Amino acid sequence: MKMSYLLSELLLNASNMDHIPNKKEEKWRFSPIKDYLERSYNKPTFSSPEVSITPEQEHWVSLQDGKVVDSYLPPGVHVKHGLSSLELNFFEDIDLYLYHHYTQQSFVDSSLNIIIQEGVKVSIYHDYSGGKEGFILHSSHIKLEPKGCLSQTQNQTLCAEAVFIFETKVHAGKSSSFKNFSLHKEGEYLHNIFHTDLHYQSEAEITSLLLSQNTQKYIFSCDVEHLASRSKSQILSKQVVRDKSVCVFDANTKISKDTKATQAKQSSHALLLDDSAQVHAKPHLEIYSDDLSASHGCTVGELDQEAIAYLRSRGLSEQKAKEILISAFIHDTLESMENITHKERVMDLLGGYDE
Amino acid sequence: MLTIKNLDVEIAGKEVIKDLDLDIKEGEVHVIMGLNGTGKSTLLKAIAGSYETKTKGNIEYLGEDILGLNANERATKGIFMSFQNPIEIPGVNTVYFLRTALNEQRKSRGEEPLSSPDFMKQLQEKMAFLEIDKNILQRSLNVGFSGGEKKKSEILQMMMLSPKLILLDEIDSGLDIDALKSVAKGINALRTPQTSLIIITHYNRLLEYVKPDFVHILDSQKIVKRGDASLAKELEEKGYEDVLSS
Repeated sequence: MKMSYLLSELLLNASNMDHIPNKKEEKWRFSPIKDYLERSYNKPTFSSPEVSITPEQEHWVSLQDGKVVDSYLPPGVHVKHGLSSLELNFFEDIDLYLYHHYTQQSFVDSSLNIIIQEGVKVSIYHDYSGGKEGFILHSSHIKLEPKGCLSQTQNQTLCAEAVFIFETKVHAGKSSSFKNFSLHKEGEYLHNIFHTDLHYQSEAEITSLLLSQNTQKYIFSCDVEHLASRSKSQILSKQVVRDKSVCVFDANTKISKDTKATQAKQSSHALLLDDSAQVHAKPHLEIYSDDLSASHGCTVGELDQEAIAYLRSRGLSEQKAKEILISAFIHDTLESMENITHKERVMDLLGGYDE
Repeated sequence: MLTIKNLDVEIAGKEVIKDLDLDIKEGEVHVIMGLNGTGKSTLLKAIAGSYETKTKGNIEYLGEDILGLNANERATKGIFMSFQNPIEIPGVNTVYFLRTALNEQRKSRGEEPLSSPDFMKQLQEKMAFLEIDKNILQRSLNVGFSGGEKKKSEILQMMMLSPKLILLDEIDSGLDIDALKSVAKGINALRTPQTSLIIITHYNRLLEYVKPDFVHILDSQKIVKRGDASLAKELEEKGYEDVLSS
């Protein structure tokens, strides 16, 4: 029999949350978490899998409520897993599919550790599903050894009623490369938090695409710290905000003292499609060095009426013209995606906007 | 083809055209000339159904009152307007846009969409005809196009969409001699006994390649003088003040 617990109790014992967040903390300033504290959730029972998958990729792992239910991995990937934890240690190049399914109304507190050994190149496509009326805390620790490369694509399109807090900590070793693309399309409240430490000549490219509607609240929070010279970072977020939904961009790039030839770029661009939609953007640079190239900026706008008129003058309906312009707006978030399979999957999810 | 009666047009809250009449038959080419700010572009926008214009009166196109139709409905019925300053739309691939526009128009007429190979074949033929660089196909719509490329792109769109009523707003402005000849070649290629054109221009040079049937001068919110191709030449020689006072 499933037992229900108040979220306030569950959070106090969660391994991925050391206290109950409150709005006085900058990170949780726009979070509606207080609204959920009196809601009840079940602890997962780790019953038989609800969904079976037939991935197109050769290597894959399927998880339910953070627990591994099935996998097919080569010997070059060392695996450790517990009730809601998974550690993947990569000793060979691989293109991996990770399927995360969450059961209804569950409170999930899961963790994923990824270690990329020296010179190894890994590409991971994360697919998230389920989570109806659930509350998911997902913590991810990524360690890139020197010259290691990780390219992740995260399709965070959970059930519309799901709450999802995702925290990723990245340690990028010397000459390593970390690329992350995340798409948020469903879910009641999604909070995607990144902390990235960059060492000598390492690179991080973090891209977030938020497509919110109804009363959804999506928060993208990203901290990057340049700890050594010749490191590069690029944070790009695009938000398409409809109805009464809210999107937040909160980024901070810190460039440490005594670093040289650092490159840092932050940008956030939002498209507001309704009068009641909201965007809060806070691009921020913290600079303690004078040998660097850095930029930050944000734009908030609406669809260009002249562009709509031009497209309509060629026979496109108003709806089609708007779809094309929204697609054009999000187009460059996909440009840097090198894995063609990942790119095609994301384009499918976007409904063919980006043909 | 097009009958305009007692047309009043407002743009940005200002009355620009008052009580204008114009009748265009199938196969005719009409040229509208006039000083800057006399409402030439506004007239074309009103015919094309631009969201910027507020209209009163009557515009009948192929026997149908089109004042209640929006711009895309008018476009699917065969009205095409080329813009004086075509807008740049970053992120919208030129080929994708052209194919979507063409197939949306075909769909509204109950026709099957054109397959990708058939579309590309037609597009490449027309691009070669207009001497358009193939590289523009890879670029976003009008982004980074030179003034001449933008005007040629408008003519390419016109040729792909095969309209019945063509409205050209200063299609010759900013063109070098070779580009002007290409644009004129595109216009003449669509000139049939079933197609009508309204051309706005300030100069006679385009009219050396595209021979008009009628030339109208727009002034004081309405058409004040009508004539044949010789009126354009006379305007170029004498200027508006002399021609209108004679």
